[in-house]
Order: sequence, then C-alpha cells, then structure tokens
Amino acid sequence: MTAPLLKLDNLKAWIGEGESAVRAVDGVTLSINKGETFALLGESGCGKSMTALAIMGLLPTPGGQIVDGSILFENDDLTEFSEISMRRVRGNRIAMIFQEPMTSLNPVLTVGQQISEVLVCHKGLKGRASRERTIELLNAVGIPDPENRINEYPHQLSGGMKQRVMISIALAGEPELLIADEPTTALDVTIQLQVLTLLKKLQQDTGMAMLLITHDLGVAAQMADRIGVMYAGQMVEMASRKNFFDHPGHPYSKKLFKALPDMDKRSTLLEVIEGTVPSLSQKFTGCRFAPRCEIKIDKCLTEEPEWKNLSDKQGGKCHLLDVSVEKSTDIHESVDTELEDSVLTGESPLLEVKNLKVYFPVHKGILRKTVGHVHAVDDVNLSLDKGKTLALVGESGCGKTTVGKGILQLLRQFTSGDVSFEGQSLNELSGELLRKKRSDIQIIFQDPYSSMNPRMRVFDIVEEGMLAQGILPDYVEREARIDELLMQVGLTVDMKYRYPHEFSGGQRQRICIARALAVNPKLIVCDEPTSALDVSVQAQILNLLNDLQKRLGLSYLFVTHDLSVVAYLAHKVAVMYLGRIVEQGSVNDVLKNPLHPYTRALLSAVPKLDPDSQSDVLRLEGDIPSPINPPNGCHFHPRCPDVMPQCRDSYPEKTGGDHYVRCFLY
Amino acid sequence: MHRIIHGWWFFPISGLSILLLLLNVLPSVFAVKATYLWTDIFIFILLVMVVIFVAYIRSKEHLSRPWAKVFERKLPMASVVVLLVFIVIGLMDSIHFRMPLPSEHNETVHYSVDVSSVLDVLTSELHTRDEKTYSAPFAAYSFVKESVDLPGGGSERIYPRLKYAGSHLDDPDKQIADDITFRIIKSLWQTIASGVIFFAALIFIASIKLKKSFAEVVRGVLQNNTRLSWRTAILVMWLILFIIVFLVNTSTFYHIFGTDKVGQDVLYLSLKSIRTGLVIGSLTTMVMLPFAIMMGIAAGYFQGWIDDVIQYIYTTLNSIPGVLLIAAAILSIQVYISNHPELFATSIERADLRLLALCFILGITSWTGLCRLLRGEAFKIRELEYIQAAQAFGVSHFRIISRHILPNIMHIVLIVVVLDFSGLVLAEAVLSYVGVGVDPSTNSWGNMINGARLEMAREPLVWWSLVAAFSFMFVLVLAANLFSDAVRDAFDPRAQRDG
Ligand SMILES: Nc1ncnc2c1ncn2[C@@H]1O[C@H](COP(=O)(O)OP(=O)(O)OP(=O)(O)O)[C@@H](O)[C@H]1O
Ligand code: SF4
Ligand code: SF4
Ligand SMILES: [Mg+2]
Repeated sequence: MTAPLLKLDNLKAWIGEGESAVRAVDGVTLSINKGETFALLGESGCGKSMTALAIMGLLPTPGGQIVDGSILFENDDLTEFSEISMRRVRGNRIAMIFQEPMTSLNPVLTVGQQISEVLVCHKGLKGRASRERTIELLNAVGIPDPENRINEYPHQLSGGMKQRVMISIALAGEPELLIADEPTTALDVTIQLQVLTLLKKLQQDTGMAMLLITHDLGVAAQMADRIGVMYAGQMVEMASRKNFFDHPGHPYSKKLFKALPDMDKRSTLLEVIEGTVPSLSQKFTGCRFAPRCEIKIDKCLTEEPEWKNLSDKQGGKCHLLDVSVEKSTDIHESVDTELEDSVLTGESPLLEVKNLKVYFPVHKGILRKTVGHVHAVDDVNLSLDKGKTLALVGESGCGKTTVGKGILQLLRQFTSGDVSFEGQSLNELSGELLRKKRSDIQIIFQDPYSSMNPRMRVFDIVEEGMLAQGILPDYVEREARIDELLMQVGLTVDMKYRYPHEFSGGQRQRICIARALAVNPKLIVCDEPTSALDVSVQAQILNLLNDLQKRLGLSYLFVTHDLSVVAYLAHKVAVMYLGRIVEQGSVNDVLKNPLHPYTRALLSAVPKLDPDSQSDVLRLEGDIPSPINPPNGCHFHPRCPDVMPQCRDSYPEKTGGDHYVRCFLY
Repeated sequence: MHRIIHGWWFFPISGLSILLLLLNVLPSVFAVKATYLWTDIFIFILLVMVVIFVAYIRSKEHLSRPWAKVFERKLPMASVVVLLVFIVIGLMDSIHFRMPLPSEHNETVHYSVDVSSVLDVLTSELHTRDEKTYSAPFAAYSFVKESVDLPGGGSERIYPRLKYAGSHLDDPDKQIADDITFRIIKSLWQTIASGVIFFAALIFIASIKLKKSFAEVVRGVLQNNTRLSWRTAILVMWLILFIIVFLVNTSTFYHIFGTDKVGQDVLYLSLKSIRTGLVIGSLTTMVMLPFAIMMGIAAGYFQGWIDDVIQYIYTTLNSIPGVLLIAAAILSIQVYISNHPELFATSIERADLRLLALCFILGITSWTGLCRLLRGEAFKIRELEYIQAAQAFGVSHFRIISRHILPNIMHIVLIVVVLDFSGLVLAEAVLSYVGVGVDPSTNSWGNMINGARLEMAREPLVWWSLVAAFSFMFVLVLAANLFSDAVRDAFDPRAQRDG
C-alpha cells in the first residue's frame, strides 16, 4: 500500500473574517491515489470548487485563507508553500481545467501560444521542440488538423474544441494530478461524451490521478473510482463507486438518487429535498443537513455527527448512517395517470404549428447589408393537445428556444408559417386582438436570474400581466389572487414585497411560474426551466409543473436538452437538429425505440447511473454545424454513422405516421 | 392621515412648499424687489428635482444601498462635504433681488438697477471696499507706484498705502505678520469652540433619533464605527469651518487674494464665479438628459428605422467640431441680445441669457455620448428575458420602457452626469478663454483666467487672479471627480463583481 498522492486532512478554507466568514470548505478530509479518479459530488454552493482552488493555492484574494488542516501532496504540505514555490507546482505537478471554456482561454493569444507558454514555463521547451510537442498534445486531445489549428484564436473554436484545448494546456506540464472542475457542464451531451471519453483515455495513457468535480451523478458513475459527496462545506459521504451506487449511506445521497427524474418514476411525484442548501456564513450546531433531513433525531440538532466508517470502502458523517436499501417507493402520492391514457379523439389540437420558419438575417459591413440568414427554425410542424406535454429536445443552438418564441409571436418580423391556437391563426391577428390573445400562451425561461426585472417587487412582477390584460381590475381582488398564486406555487404570502435578488434560483423559478399563471394561460412554453437548478430543486419544480397540469389542465411545450426530464414528464417528443424536426412521436416510441441515428446517439450519450449498462455507446464525432450554412442534404450526414451516398444530396422526407422520422434509412 | 405622513414624498413636498412660501414672503419683509433670472428658475427646479429624487431613493432600500456604499468611504464623504459648500454658495448667489433706492417722503419706491444676491449681501464688506488698482494678497501697500504730493511741496513716486486693506495698522511693515498670526490663532480657537458646540448639538439630535446614549454615539463617531463615514464628514466640516472663520476674521482687513486691475477683491470674484461654474455643470446636463434618454432608449428598444435615424443624427452632430457650433450659436445669440436691448431690464439679465444659451448649446453638443451609451444598454436589456416575458403578456411599449428599461439604465445616467460635471466646469473656462463662453461681465473662472493672460505678461508679474481662479476650480473639479469615481464604483455592475 503506497502513500496517497494527495491527502487533505480536515481542510478548512474560509473567506472573510469573524462570525460572518463564509465557511466554504469546513473540514474536508480525502485522499486520492496515483492513477485514480475521485469524483467530488454536490449541489451548487457547497464548496466543491473552493476545495479545488484551495489545493491549487488560488483562493480568492482578499479574504480567502486556509484556517486549518493540511494538504499533503506527495508528502509536501502545500499549505506551507510560498506563492513562488506554489507556482512551480501549479500547471506542472497539479493542473486544473475549468467549467467555462469560453472564459478560461485568453482571447488574444493563439491556441499554440497558450500551450507553448506552459511548455516554456514548466518544461523549458523552446522553438521547434515546443511546437512539435504542442502539435503532439493537440493530437492527443483529438483536435483534427493541429498544424493549422495551432495558429487559430479561441473564438474560432467551438465549445467542445475549446475544452479540448484547455485539457491539452493542462496536460502540457505532464501533471500527476488533474483537477477538472465541471469540465463538461457547459457542453452538449454528445460533446460531453467525447470529452469524458478523452479524459478517461488520457488518464489510462499517462497514469495521472484526477479530481473530478461534478454535480451530475451520471458523469460520476461513468468516470469515478471513488466518490465523495459534499454538503455545506463538509464531506458527508465517501465510498467506492460500486458501493455508492448500490447502496448510498447518507440520507442526503439517498435523496439525490430519488430526486432524479426518469421513465420509471413517471406516474409518481419525484421525491424532493425540501428547502435549500444553508448559507455558509454562519456558525453551525449539529448536523448541517438536519433542517432538510426527514429521518433526523433529536441528537442531530445538537450534536455534530462524527465520521463513521461502515467498511473500508464506505463511510459517512451521519448519526444514522446505514446502507440498507429502501424497498419500495410506493409511499408517494401517485399522480393521476388518467390524463395520459385518455385519447382525445375528434377534438382539434390546442396548438398547431405548420411550416414554421424563423430566419435571422446576418448583417455584415458598415452598410449592414444582409449577407445571409441563420436558419434557426426551418419548416417545423408540431401539434399539441390540451392537457398534454410536448417535449422539444435537441442540442444547444438547434433552434428550440426560437420555436418557442416563434409560437409566442415574439419574433414576428423574422417568422413565416402558421401558428394556430384553438383553431385560430395567430399570424393573422394583430394589434389589440393579438394583445388579448397573448394571455393564453405564456413562457417560463431558463435563467431565473435574467427573467425578472431586478428593480421590481414580486408583487409588481406578478401583477404586471394582470394589469396588461385587464384581469381583475379591482385592487383588492387582484391582491387576493396574487396571494393565492404565490401559495399555489409554494411560496408564502409575505414574500410578495421582496425583490428578486432575495430569492434562490428555485424560488425565482416559482415566481416566474406564478407570473405566467396570473393571466390564466392554456399553454405554457417552458424553456429549460430546470437546467439552471440543482437536482433537488429541479425535482421540486418538476413536481409543481406536474401538479399544475393535473389541476388546471395546462399544456406544456417543454424545451429541454435533458432526456431524463423528457422521460419523466413528456407525452410526446420532438427531436430537433439544426432547425428541423428529425423525429417525432409518443414518449414511449421515441425513447424506447429511437429510429433516427441522431436520436439514438443522443440517448446513448446520456451518462447512465448504472455504469455497467454503458456498453454499446454510439459516439458522435465532430461538432454541430453552423445554422448559417447547414450541410447539404441531410443536415446530420457529416456526423452520421450510417451515412449513405444519397444522404448528401437531398433532405429526407417524413416516414411513418404518429411516430415519424426523417431519414433515408426508413 | 397616517398614510400621508409615511409617504416618502411627504417631507420633501412639505419642505419645498415652505421654501416657496418663504421666497414669496421674504422680499416684502425685507422691502426688496425679487428678480428671477432664467438660470435661477432652472436652478431651483433642479433643486426640487434633486430633493424629490433623494427622498425617493431614501425610501427604497434597494435604491439607497449603493448610495450607502458611496458614503461609507472617507474620500467621497469628504468630497461631498466640499461640494455641498460650493453648492450652498452657488444657491445663495442664485437668490436675486433689487434693493430699494433711498427715497424721501413716502413716494413710490424705486429700486436700484443693480441686481444683488444673498451672497452679495453677506459679502458686502468684500465688494464695497475697492482699491484703486492691483494689490498683492495680504498687502497693505499698492502694487503700483503713484506720484504723491509731498507735504513740503514737490512730488515723489512711491507705493501708497491702500485705502482699506491694512488700514487698521500704524506700521504695516512691522505689524502685519503679527496681526495675521494673531488672526489665525483667534480663528483657530473660535473654530474649535463653535465646532464643539455645533457638533455636540448634531450628535445630540442623532442620539435621540437613534435612541442611543450620547456617549455611545460619540464613541461610534470617534472610532469610525458608524455606518456612513461621519468622522470624516465632521473633520472636513471642521476644516471648512476654520476656513470660513478665518475668512471672516481677515478678509475685511486684507485682500486675501489681492485685488485686480480696477481694485476689486479677487476673493469676491472667485466666490461669485462658483455659481457660473455650477450652472454650467448642472443646467447643461439637465438640458441634455431628456434628449439623450429619449433618443437612446428609442434607438435601442425599437431598432429598425428609428435606430437608423437617431444614429444618423448623432453621427452627424458628432462630426461637426463642437467649438465651431458653440461659437456660431453664441455669436448669433450675442447679435440677438444687442438688437433687442428693450427686453432686458438690467445688464445682469442680459448676461444671464447668454449663460443660459451657453448651457443649451453645450447640452446640444454633448448629449450624443450618453445617447450612444444608453442605446447600447437598452439594446442589451431588450434582449433580456423579463422584457420578453412582458411582451408575451402584451404589455405596451410605453410601460415596458418606463417600468423595465428606464429604471435599469438609471445607474448609467447617474454615472455619466456626475462624470460630465467636472468636464463641463472646465469646458466653461476654456470657452470663456477663447471668447465664446459666458458674457465678459459675468464673473467666471474662465473670464478670470482670460484676464490673467495680460497680467501674466506684466513685469512684475500679477499672479494672484490666476492662482485664485485655478485653486477654486481645482478644488471643485477634484471633489467632483473623487465623488464621481465613488459613484461609478458603487453603481457600475462590472465594478461590483469582484467585490
Ligand atoms: N436574435 C437572433 N439573431 C440572430 N441569430 C439568432 C438570434 N436568436 C437566436 N439566433 C440563432 O439561432 C440559432 C438557434 O437559437 P436558439 O436559441 O433557438 O437555440 P436553442 O436550441 O434554444 O439553444 P440552447 O440549448 O443553447 O438554448 C442559434 O444559432 C442562434 O445563434
Ligand atoms: S445526522 Fe441526523 S440530520 Fe444529519 S443526515 Fe444524519 S440523520 Fe439526518
Ligand atoms: S438521412 Fe442519412 S445521414 Fe441523415 S440521419 Fe439518415 S442515414 Fe444519417
Ligand atoms: Mg435555448
């Protein structure tokens, strides 16, 4: 048994001083062996990134400091290193890659310059040697044509490519430990799969250890040898991958699994962890998870639990740590499944979209001449029945949001095609008639931070639509209705005089839902309403949407890239690629029996919780092409594993009825 | 009733009505004839707006938070106190009236053609004691030799004693240093004594309001534990108090900044120039704001042809050299004024119109920068999701602009206004120097510097007008710049992020 490569012992890194210091890392103990991947799991704001920064000696200044504990890296205590000796460690023995590939590369230096900088600094390579090594590195991270790419600037690369370049920079110093802070969170699933596969391969080739920070259980399941779960600045559970996924011990870990949406939980409410992660700028007594824990006992409130090892492979910080698996989940209230089964025959659909096209003009030069069009949405047909959910799935930039906005008539000047709602064509309406009709279709946005005016109180925010639509002109009635709405979405009445910045992401999303409901809509376009939220909060919002649909008979057009959410709540699914729908059908047909190669790739790219089932993955190469000049023929042909000659010539027509696909294979 | 008293607008409105009432009643109490210059009216409208704005901000927690950040720091607090002193002087110089002429037997009263201001009355000692010509600061003798008849016949060229300055001394050469030292010491203890009483009263009021003991508040202030930086404020006020006491003690016995060519006290001229500087700095902004805000938002929000038109206007305006435009406008105003002498009762009204015209024309040439900034910001905000949510509700454009866009660009407006202020004060000096600024009869630092052009060519050199104008301007501009830096730090979201 050799000594571990990295060993943190009761590490405490705080920001600020005194009582109100943010205890971002508050007693973290872990060790990573050579060649091992350790995944650090946890929700946002629980100190994962801070742990990584503390190891790198990059705590934010001023204010950030290590107040206790040690960081042993090959028997050197990094906490005692000076800044100058740390600089020799960083990039050389420990390297780090960050979440946001867009901002972690310097935009004014070429890719080659940024890599050779590290080579010069840490390896003393110059001139030709440095250039050759750079090309070698770019090759290793799978960047095609590295001789030319070396002279390109970051803005010329796609997100996935940038992340590859970041990885090659990190590898340049041949580190013994690579810290990857959410390396794929900003990427699409198919690209995420490419990057994760690459990281795994590189690790096997070089034998480096990896500290992988993620909030995605699936990514951890695919990559990690051992897993640590962080909560509110502390490590609450640590286990080998197998033990963790077979039988998590800590109540928090157990809850995380249950909060994940998937097909099997369809007819049930998701289990939620009530409340949110506590603020770290306070002194804690007792267990930090106690306010949200369902099985807490009196001791939990007064006494901080000690670390307990259940076996040499699993341990945790809980008075009631146990690994027995709960038998059934039928304790949850079951959702009325009637709606799902009822077939609404004879009635015309609530929403019918025919040949919707949204072309954004591209301007160039000082005269701003139109030189082309972004074909953001190209000939899309959809229909949605009352009380149902249609999911629109696809990768970033494929035009999902634009479809939603096109239906809402927010992009009229760029739109053609027909959108009819309850049999009435919205394109023909204008002025006052359109304004009145707007109350029927509402939208909830992805980013709960930019979707509310920061200078308005919750009351005014919810009231705005009612005023514009002339709903409840009487102030007292309106106020009563706003109170009712806030309660309906799970907020309290006294919150109505607060400003948006005083709420957490999940609460803000609830306010947005209340705002949409205020005008009694029949259809809500949900544009990735949960993708900015943590798993436990996502479950709360999904439950709420589910419940509202049941009670108010709402229809949702659910725009998302997350297939597990689709599996959980959609009735029908439409898969989009580069502005066109490539496959559409009922959720069972599409997810269980995907036909289009793109749908199949998308489904297999989602990291599975059960690592063994990840056998026959369908890997897509390359990036999503630009919608300004999409490839000829089938847009998917440059990436398609089943490409045939005819695919390059013309776009395939629809095949099939209720479950149709646009591909020459069928 | 309860609701009324607790509305944020209750105190400003009642305060302003009292002010208006006073403005109406006071002239008859003092038997003077009130004169309202155009710029006075604008200044008081501006004052009203600022008071209402401040009251509104104080009532909203999220609006006052960034301001609290400004006043937590020492430097901005100090500069605000300095600015306030300038503003008070400027305001006192903006209440104008005409004195009654002495009249016998209850005839109808006639009023003097000279318009005075409150400042003139307070500093009457300064401008009623003109010397013959130049004299240096703190001098008792004239700066220019004169022929004096000797008692025994014949004449001699000597430096004569000044008529007023130092006239209380028998032998100025020997006594002057002692006399000034004495006055400094006297001012010092007067400052300390009056300051202690004044600030004790202030802290006493504060302690009642905060419901704390007197000693606690004093300790808080001394240790700088207060939320806002009151210790600095008090220290700066003390310093200013000393300067005022010193001025009161000495300026009636000496000419502290000397006298100019016709023997006028330079200190008085500099004080009178404050108003001109403030008027240019603030009225110009007031003129340009509506243009900049309306056009900027319209261009950014509506885009399309509206944007094209507005962009066309400001690029065209920008490509005309500003000085030429100003010179042309000022010259034509000058022609208009000289062709219509009957419109103006007094010369000061004539000069005032030119000052107002200068503000307008400066405003018209300077709105483009802000407009461009606001266009960009409105463009960015309109893409934000809350605007789209509002559009999806069918909210009208007007409401979207007034409720969503305007409040979210106000911080930019504020930053630009405060930053522009000092630039405009300096611009006045430059324009007056080249002769297209304010009327030559208006007191302004620009005119003082312009006059100093000849004085600097004299041998021996007359340096004090320039130094006086320069130091006043320097203090004002420095205070404004320090303040605007702090405002930008507090309001600029980019600066906040690394906090
Ligand atoms: N106002 C606009 N002007 C020009 N191009 C636009 C505009 N809005 C979107 N686009 C382009 O249209 C395409 C589709 O964008 P859209 O926002 O609909 O994608 P999306 O599928 O919602 O992606 P994401 O998953 O990242 O939200 C993209 O290439 C985008 O750059
Ligand atoms: S210690 Fe108690 S409160 Fe904390 S997780 Fe365990 S059971 Fe829940
Ligand atoms: S049409 Fe051809 S290229 Fe397109 S998805 Fe089908 S097989 Fe692949
Ligand atoms: Mg989107």
